[in-house]
Amino acid sequence: MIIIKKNDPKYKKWLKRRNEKLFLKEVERRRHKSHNTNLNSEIKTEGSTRKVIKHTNSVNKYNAIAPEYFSIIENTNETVSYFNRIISLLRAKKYKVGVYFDIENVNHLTIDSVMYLLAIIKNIKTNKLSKYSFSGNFPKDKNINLLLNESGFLNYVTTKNKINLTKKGNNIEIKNGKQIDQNVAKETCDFVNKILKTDTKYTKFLYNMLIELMTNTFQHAYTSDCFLINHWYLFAENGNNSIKFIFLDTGLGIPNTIRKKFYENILPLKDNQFIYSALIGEFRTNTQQGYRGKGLPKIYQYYNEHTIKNLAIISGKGCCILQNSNYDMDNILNGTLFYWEISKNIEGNDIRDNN
Amino acid sequence: MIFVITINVCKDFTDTPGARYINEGTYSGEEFRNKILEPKYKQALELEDVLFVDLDGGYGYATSFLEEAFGGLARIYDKIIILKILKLKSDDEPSLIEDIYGYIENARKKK
Repeated sequence: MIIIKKNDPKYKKWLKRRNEKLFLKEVERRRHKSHNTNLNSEIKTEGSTRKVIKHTNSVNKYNAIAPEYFSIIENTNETVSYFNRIISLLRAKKYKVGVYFDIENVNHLTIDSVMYLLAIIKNIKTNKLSKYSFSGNFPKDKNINLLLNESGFLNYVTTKNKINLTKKGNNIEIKNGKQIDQNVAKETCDFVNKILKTDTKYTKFLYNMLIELMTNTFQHAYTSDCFLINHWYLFAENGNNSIKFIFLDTGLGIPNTIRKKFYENILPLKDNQFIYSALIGEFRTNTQQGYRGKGLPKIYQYYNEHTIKNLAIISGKGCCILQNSNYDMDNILNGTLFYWEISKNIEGNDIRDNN
Repeated sequence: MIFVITINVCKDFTDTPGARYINEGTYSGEEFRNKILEPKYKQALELEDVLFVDLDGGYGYATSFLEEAFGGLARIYDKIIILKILKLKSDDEPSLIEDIYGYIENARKKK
C-alpha cells in the first residue's frame, strides 16, 4: 500500500489534473444532454472556481404578418419593408429566434416574394450558431394556395399539410443555385419552346440572359459581409398572353457593386439611375476592364428590340420599370430582382430576324 | 490552295456553353479557347489556312462566353491576323458574327 501525504506537491499536482479532467467531462456531458449544442453555454472563471453558465433556452418567437398584397414587383415598398424588418430582427439577435411567417390573409401573391422568403430561410438554415427557426401557415385563399404549391415552394420546406397536385405544367418550379447552371437555362428554354412550339433557335437570347444573370450573381454580388448567402433563384410561369420570368439574387445589389465615377461618390446618383446607367452600357463594370460588363446592355438590347417586354429591375432602392417609370423607393431591397416577359404572339416578336 | 480548319462548337465542345472563366463552371469561354479555339488557330496560322467556326446548333451563347473566347484570343494574338484567318457561321443568330468581330476589335489587354 502506498501512502501519499495530502500536502505532498506531487499529490496536489495529480489532484489538480484529476479535477480538471472531471470538470471538462462534466461540461461535455451537460453539453450533450440537451438537443441544443454548447453554443448557449460559456465557462466563467472566478478565482479558483469555474462555472458553466447556460443562457436561456427559451426561443424568442416573432409573428411576421405578411402584407395582403404580397409582391415585390407590384407592391414594392410594403413587401420590401416587411422583409427588411425580418432581416433586421435576425441580424440584431444573437441567439435563438423563431420567425413565424403568417401569410394566411394574403389575397394577392407573386412568386418573387416567395423566392425572397426562401432566400431568408435558406441563409439562416446554414447558420447553425444563431439557431434560427422558421415556421408558417398557408394562405386561406384557395387559388393563392394553389399558386404557392405549384411554384415548388414545398420542395424547400417541410409540411404536414402536403397537397397532392396534378401538376399542370404551367410553370417551372422555383430553381436555385450558387453557380452557373446550364441545365437550368436549358430546361427553361425547353419550357418556353414547348409552350410556343418553337425550337432552340428561338430561345438563344433567353439562354444568353440566364447565363449572364447567373454569372453576375456568382461574380459580383457578394462579399463576406453579406447576410444572405449567395444564391440565385429563378421562376417561370406560363401566363395568358406571355411567359413570365423572375430572377432574383440576394447579394449586394447593382448600385453597390457597379463602378462609380469619382464625382458620384460626392454627388451620388439615385439607385434607379445607377441601374439604368448600367443597363444602357455606360462603363460601369466593377472590374474596370473595357471588354467586360456586356451582360446588362445585352438584356437592354433585347428589350429595345421587343424580344422581351415589361422588363423591370429592382435593386437597392432603385426601381427601373422600363415600361413605366424609374424611381427610388423608401426601402432597400437586399439583392436584385429581374422581371421580364416573352410574348406568346410570335409574329409580333422580332427574334427571328436578328439582323 | 486554301485549306479550311473547321470547328463546330456544338459538336466539338458543347450544346450548352457556360460563362466566361473556368472557375465559373463547365464549358466556359476560357476553356473553349484553351482547348479548341487557340490550338486550331495556331494550326491555321502555321499552315496559312482559314479557321472556320460554326456557331449553329446548341442552346445559345452567353455574351461573356463569346467575348472571352474570341476577344481573349485577340488579347493573345494580333487581331488583324485573326480577322484575316477567322471565318464565322451563325445562321441561327446572324447578329453574333458582328458581335464577335466587335469583341475582337475591342479586345484590350488586362490591367
